[in-house]
Amino acid sequence: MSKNNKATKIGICIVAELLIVVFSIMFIASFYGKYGSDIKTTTTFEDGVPSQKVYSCPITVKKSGNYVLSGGWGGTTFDSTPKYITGFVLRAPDDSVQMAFTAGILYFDSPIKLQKGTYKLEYHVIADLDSYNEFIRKYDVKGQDYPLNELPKIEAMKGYNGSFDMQYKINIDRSDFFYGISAVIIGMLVMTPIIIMLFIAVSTDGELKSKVDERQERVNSKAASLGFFVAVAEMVLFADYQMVVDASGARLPIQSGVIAFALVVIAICVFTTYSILHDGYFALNINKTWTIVVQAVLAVILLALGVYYIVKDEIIVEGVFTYKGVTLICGIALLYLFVIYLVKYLIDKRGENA
Amino acid sequence: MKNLKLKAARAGKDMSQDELAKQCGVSRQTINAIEKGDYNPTINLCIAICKALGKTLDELFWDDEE
Repeated sequence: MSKNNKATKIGICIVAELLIVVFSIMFIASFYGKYGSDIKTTTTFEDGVPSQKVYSCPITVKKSGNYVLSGGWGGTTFDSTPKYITGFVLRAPDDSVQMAFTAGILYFDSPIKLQKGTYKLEYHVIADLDSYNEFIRKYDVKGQDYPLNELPKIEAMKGYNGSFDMQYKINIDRSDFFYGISAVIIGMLVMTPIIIMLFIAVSTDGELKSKVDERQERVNSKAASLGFFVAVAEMVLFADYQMVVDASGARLPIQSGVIAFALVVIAICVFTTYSILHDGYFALNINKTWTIVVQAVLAVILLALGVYYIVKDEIIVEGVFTYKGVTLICGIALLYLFVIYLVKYLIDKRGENA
Repeated sequence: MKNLKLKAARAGKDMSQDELAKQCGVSRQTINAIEKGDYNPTINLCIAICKALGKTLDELFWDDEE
């Protein structure tokens, strides 16, 4: 590698690192302006009357501004969806009603202006039509009434004895222009250095096509066959498993799309593992160190995103592993490849010493 | 079966596996695999190796025991 070429690569590396640092700072800053409330309740009904009619929890807004409300709620177990209605009331720090609603995703009235201070979220248990009408009137609920065809369900609560476990989750996120632009910039800052680093990793003297020798071609061909057969075996097993699950009426603990994606990732990992362990993976004209560095950086970013989603309870929702876990799967796969590089390095080292 | 003739010829020319690999346009691991007898090269690669080491095919790849 010429001195000029090396200097360019080092320069690009420094710029990429600086961008990553800026991204990290902005990523941390983006948490400022995100508030959440998560509450679990157990309501026992005796003859249709709830043991507790109102649950409440505080939510502190640290900066005045426009916010978007979003959230969801439901039974904590699959079979515990209640027939009663929950009325939500957001009270300002001075106890006045900021907004009230009875159902649906809360984007309808968003964004709303919130002042700095501690708000109170109230969850009203509404188990009969009179209470429902009273709630609508008392809190002046407009435009977000529970769909009329859903209301008859409330009749099922008449004389009901038993209890429901519920989980309510409300998020309040900043909706200012700056935050929207930040998201775009963050996206660009993440993608640009990755693309640059990938280009450097796969190119030598401007050539993009990777060159492998005859032995590597043979190794990669065997690796591809192995990966293909693993993929076929996985598909057969998955189809079998899905049929059993469908027949039993059970619910899959992982979304089908995520399983399909994971199976593809496993097949790719099998291909790559064989290729790395038999010295077929790295092309002759590829920069091995750069490739490993890029994959390590990608692994860290994807794992960080995965951990972020775990902390936010977005990967496992109501006991189901959702599509947001895809980033985590990719991160784990890249980390696994990193371990394979290490294993291969140690095997080679041992061979040299022997 | 190990190809000791190749290893000896390479050592005779004071070349490393990496240097020979670069001259032949293959990876160092491929030269290593040929020397260890783990890989049978094609005739094209055999010729490239012979040219790099200044030897004939017989000298490097003919099995005298046969």
